[in-house]
Amino acid sequence: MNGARGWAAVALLISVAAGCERPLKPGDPLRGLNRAEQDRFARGKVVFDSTFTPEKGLGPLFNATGCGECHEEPAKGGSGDEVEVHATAFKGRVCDPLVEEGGFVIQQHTTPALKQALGIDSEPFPPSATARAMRTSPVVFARGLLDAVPESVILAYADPEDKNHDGIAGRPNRFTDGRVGRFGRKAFVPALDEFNAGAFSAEMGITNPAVRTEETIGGKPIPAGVDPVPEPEINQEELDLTDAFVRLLAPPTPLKLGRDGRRGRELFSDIGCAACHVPTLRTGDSPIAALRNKEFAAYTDLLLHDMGPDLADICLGLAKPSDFRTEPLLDLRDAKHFLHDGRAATLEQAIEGHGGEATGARDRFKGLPAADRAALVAFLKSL
Amino acid sequence: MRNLTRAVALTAILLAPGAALSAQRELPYTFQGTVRAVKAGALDLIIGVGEAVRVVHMRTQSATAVFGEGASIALGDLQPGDVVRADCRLTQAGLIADKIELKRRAP
Ligand code: HEC
Ligand code: HEC
Repeated sequence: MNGARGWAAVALLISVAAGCERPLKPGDPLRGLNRAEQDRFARGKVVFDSTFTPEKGLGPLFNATGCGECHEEPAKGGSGDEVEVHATAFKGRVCDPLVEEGGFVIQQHTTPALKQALGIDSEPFPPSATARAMRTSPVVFARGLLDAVPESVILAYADPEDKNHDGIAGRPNRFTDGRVGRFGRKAFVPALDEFNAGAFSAEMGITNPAVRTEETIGGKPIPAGVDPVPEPEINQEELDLTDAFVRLLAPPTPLKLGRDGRRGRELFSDIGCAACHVPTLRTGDSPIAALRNKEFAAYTDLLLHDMGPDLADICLGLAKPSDFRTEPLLDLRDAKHFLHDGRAATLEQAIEGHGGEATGARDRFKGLPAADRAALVAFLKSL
Repeated sequence: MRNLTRAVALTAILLAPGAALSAQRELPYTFQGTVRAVKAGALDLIIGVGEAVRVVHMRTQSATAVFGEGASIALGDLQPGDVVRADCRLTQAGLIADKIELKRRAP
């Protein structure tokens, strides 16, 4: 052991003994992973960050060439500047995810072979759609922890009839088969591994052992010869490794709070932000020790809330056009835009954009003295 | 990972029309999904994983056995939103369901 390393080890021992562990940066893995898990995280990151080409199965419809092209700032698994298009049809209060017309993700690119065959640059916008939604690429940190929160915890926060009369009526979304949803801005997707497997197909046109078929082009099959790579285009191991990387991404450690930030944290609860952005959640059982019975900063209830007509776009599952999942507040320090379509350039604008069930909290925020508003924003920037 | 087996079970093969298969090589397929539409002699299921939703069309015959809640039921008893498991085979004329089992009623 050389001198510098020796001192580093001593310093580490002292800091661990003092209870001040090294803060986790965006993109770091969870603490407490065993060797095998660390290895899978590292190998999964390689798949997550790989670039697919048509020869490797990309497309024929796709939004980007790899997970890491959209989830990349300030580290892999982070956010991105890609904004994608979703569309559904809301008819008679029932939501149609347009499965007959190629599904609700409308891919914005085509491979050269598809372009040559059909002359299209993107998936045709489904004619039956009643609305279009723009979706910015969010950070995927802490999603493994969110996945490990027992359904009973989420349901315990639900108050669909607003029995406690606080003006907030959270309710779960459900997937087509009735399972409680939690991922995506509309909380449509019930499980992280399913979101990840679905993303390979919906974002990159990569078939895999969980999604064995390419999506149709507006309901019509892919022209012969356009995508000769046999299904599945990635194997189970590549799929599992990608899932391991996403699952084991840690929430970044909040920055140290000054006096302002501490005041802001109190205000966050006092004015009712925490009614939806539940500060901490606890995971249940998990085969991964680092995810088992862990309390973590979530700032979400994973429930749907009516956010008012200004934010409304598409329906999805049981979510009406104005319903959104409470966004987990994570890595806000690095975020450059906010809300589902990135319309807010600052945290103040994001809060002022809240409506519907969040109107009370928003108005209380607007009614705060300038110094208190700044304190609340300082707190959010520590996340 | 813990859900992957179920995810796989929820997914299935969307078939390119005209897939050249000889009658002797009728391939078995099992789908678990949500009923989208029931018509006389036909059933549409939504199958999907996450953002990748798919629809699968299958035909039924008089010999197709439909079960629900432990008893034999009629195809017309199925409603949109019900979760079913369908054992099918792929013929030259498309998917034919041999057995359909109601797993859960629409919420
Ligand atoms: C074209 C850009 C793009 C690509 C490529 C992409 N994503 Fe995403 N990702 C998004 C967007 C946009 C959303 C938000 C979707 C929504 O709100 O419905 C998202 C959401 C997610 C979520 C859910 C986050 C949450 O808050 O619920 C996960 C997990 C995820 N992506 C993982 C992946 C993985 C794994 C891959 C590669 C297989 C991938 N993504 C590829 C843009 C992308
Ligand atoms: C009724 C539930 C509810 C309440 C109360 C609420 N929020 Fe939200 N919040 C949401 C939902 C839902 C979203 C996602 C909206 C969207 O993406 O369009 C959101 C989004 C946000 C975002 C943007 C996050 C991002 O990454 O884009 C911030 C910041 C935020 N809320 C802060 C606050 C603060 C501060 C308060 C208190 C003044 C508050 N919220 C009160 C439900 C709520």
